[in-house]
Amino acid sequence: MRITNNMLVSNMLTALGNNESRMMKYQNQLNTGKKIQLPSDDPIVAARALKLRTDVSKIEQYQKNLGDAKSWVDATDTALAQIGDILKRAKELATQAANGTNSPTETGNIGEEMKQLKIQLVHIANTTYSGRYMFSGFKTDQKLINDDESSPDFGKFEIDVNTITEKIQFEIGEGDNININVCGGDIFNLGGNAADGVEPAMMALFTNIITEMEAGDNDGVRSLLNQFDVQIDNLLRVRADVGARQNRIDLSEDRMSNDLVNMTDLMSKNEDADPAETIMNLKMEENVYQSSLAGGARIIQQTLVDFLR
Amino acid sequence: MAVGFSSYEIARSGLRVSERGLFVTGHNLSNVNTLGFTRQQAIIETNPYITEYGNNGRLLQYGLGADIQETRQIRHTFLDIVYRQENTIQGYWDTRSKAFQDVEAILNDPMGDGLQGVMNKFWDSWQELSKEPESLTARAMVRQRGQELVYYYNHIGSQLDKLQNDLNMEIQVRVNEINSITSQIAMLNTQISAQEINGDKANDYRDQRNLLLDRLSILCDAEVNEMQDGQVDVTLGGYYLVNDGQSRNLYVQANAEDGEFFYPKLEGTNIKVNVKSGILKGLLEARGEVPGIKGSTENGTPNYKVDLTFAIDISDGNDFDNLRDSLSTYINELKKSGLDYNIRFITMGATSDVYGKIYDKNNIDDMLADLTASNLLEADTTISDGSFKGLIDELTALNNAPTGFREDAKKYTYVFTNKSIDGDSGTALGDATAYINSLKSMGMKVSVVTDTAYADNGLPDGLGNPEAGWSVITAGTGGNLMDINNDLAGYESMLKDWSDNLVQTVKDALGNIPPSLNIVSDVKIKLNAMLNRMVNEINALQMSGMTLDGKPGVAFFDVIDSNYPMEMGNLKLSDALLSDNGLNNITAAKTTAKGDNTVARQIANLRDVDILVNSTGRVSIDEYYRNLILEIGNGGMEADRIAANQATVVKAVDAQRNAISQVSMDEEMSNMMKFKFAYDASSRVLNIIDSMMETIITSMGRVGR
Repeated sequence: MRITNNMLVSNMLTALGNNESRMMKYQNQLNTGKKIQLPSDDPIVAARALKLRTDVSKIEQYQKNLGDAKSWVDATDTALAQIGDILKRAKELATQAANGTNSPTETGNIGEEMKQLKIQLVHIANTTYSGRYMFSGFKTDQKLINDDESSPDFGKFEIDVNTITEKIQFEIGEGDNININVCGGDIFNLGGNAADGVEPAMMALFTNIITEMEAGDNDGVRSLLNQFDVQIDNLLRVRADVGARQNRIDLSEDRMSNDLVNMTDLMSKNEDADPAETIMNLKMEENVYQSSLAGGARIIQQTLVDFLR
Repeated sequence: MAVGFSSYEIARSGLRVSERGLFVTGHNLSNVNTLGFTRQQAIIETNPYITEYGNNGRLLQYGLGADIQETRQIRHTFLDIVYRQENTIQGYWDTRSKAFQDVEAILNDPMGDGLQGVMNKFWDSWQELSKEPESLTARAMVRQRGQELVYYYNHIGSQLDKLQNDLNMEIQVRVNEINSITSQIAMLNTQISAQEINGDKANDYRDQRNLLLDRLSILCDAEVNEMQDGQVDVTLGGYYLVNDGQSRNLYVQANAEDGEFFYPKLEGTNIKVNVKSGILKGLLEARGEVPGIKGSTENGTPNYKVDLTFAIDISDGNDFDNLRDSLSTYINELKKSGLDYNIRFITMGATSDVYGKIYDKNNIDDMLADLTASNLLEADTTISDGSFKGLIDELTALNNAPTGFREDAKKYTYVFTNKSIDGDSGTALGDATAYINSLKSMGMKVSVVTDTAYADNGLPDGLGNPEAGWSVITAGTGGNLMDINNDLAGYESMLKDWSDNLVQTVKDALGNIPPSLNIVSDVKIKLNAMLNRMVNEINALQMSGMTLDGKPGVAFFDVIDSNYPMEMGNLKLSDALLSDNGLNNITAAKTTAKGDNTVARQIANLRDVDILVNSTGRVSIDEYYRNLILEIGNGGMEADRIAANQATVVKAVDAQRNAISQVSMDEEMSNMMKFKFAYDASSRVLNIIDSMMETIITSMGRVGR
């Protein structure tokens, strides 16, 4: 093939340009730490990167949801524990009052403490978590039970809460929801619903027993004693359920943090450039570039012109 | 011949040839860096011989020196053709590759902060709202993220529009460039033919023309044909751009008929010139070979158009009360769907008429009133025999009429009849096939409600062909076949099914477009389909619940210009959200209870619901978008790779061309020496002859003087 001077020059320029673009590719990889800059560099990597990033962002949101679910459920559990303590104390008082040796005055005094326990119970039923009534189902802005001691409706439900339908759900995984609240009826009305104006079973028990105590009727108190066990059993059932949810949340948290590590790892493997490899490649390209520069300088320096007089 | 003056001539011709040779060499060397210069060679030939008789009667021939035959360009025409073909392809792929890069830069996913991130944040805000449905902070975040999403969608939209417009303008610039090139070629044609008519070679004009043709080849797939007289004809898409000394310009036209976008046309005519490759074709496809009118579905506006025709045979005294009573169900479903529908009524039978009104979303309530007034069944102009063929003719007329069916609408016809296909006379299967073909050519789906007696094929006629039943028509066009004797509930569920089917079909068709080479317009179609499905689903969910104030939910997103559907550039948060207490109008609850998070959770979950259809089937929004990025990536990679390979090919061909045509300094230096020595030698010959002459003139005949 006949080779002309301009061909040498233009070939050399093209080769230099190619070298430079390869160097730029590795430079970019080093600068950004990523294997690709545009989807067209490697569409598969790009699509996978998009998916993994979305997954990671979802997992991070689920982790936040889990944290919020956990604190809500924990707060519920604390309130339930308090209710448990009150029931225990109330049962002790009732057992004491049921004793026929107590004088009516003594029984009446026990009734005073019982009243205080009832008031405390009503306030627990209206516990708020970050400003929201925990046991009011979806109606988190409304008190569950009337807490106005002067009102004749004191201790009665103020709202309707459907125990089945008013379950607040948080999403803690793709298509994985957890119920984080306990509806008032479930605790206070033996698993039933709450209905406006109706006195819940637990409050009714307190009301009845206080009436008996105030009347100094030991037998009357005794006849109600076994109902405390019914209430305590119901509470235990609810607490077991809440405990199970706590477990599930803990397990999900573990799984999510594992998933996050895995996904982040996959993400890095998918899109991150290996610095050692990239630097090696860059160095190699630099060498090629140097030698092509040197070669170019040699090729175009001499022609026949230099030898003619 | 004895010593004479002709010997001088021989020597002089040697001198002249060598000197001219040096001229050519000098010209080559001077133009060593001239773009498009082809090296020239002085072609030397011997002068004619003279013949004389020798003493012994033999014929002797003597040469009379040398002469320059021509100054020839050293050029390989075949390689020029190959170069130009490859160059055209290179221009095409370079343009595509660049357009893909631009689109990638606009979408900025996955390595930058693109739409995916904005969508993630939007969905996350709904998750936060689902945890605290009554919290104004969470609501403010949802609105804020919604605003970001709207901004981002509109931003991408305007960027894509800008890219499309830039590409469109570039088409104009390139067409002007083609015009300038072709007019120069025509001028050079004239000059070359004028100079070459007496046998010369117009080498340097040819160089200029070749350079222009090379440049033209990267722009478009013009065909070049060299004539006997040295002029070239240039044709593009079968039309002459250059014919001898005449050039014909292209122009780009943008008018109402063709939309805002340019298409190259032949000057003085309305003929579209079909460009098949090169930068120009690359630009046309990158922009999208679409009309570009705002609202055109080819350029991305979601296609929600449906043309519905109810054809009702009233001749047989049928009781159509059921239909009338249940139509409102159908209409209510249609209203909710967000489709852009037109409804027509055609009555068949004893009196047959196109019912005078077309109903769309603006006067749909009139239709229900009209129907109640039994207007429909009292149409009084008799025009046809009520046969199915008559109906098809009517539909065909509507399809072709400018005010008839819309071109890009989905078309459905519902036939209510208590007869067989052609009234009471039998219809052969062959006729039915002809009906199906003409319906198919319109893209019409026909559903039929009829008596079961006419549903299936009947008994064979005398020729043994069975009579066609309605099932042939419905199966052939993809419609449904129903029993006319249903009760009201049956009608309602039938119409509900139809409307569900219709809505689903239209929605599914939005994002699932056939593969094409268009770049920006396809991206716009897909992004708009995604946006449209997403915001419509959110709006529907929003309206299914209750606001914080306990009122029925309102739309979350709205259009800016109500003449167009929701698409990029035409999206905003609804005014209800931005008004006073607007945050309360975000719907999180199904019920009036403030802690109800059902709707918020449904919306947060929407990202995992398969609400879109693409080439891989039903997919979620995230998957759809990912697929779009993958497609753009694949397209870009393909274009990059082919452009790079093509560059190698073009370079190789160019190298072959240059190997033949370019000036080599070493070679020219050798030539210089060659000619110089030849010149020296010829002058020596002249010297010798001169001294011979001197001998004759001054020394001869002096003996004995």
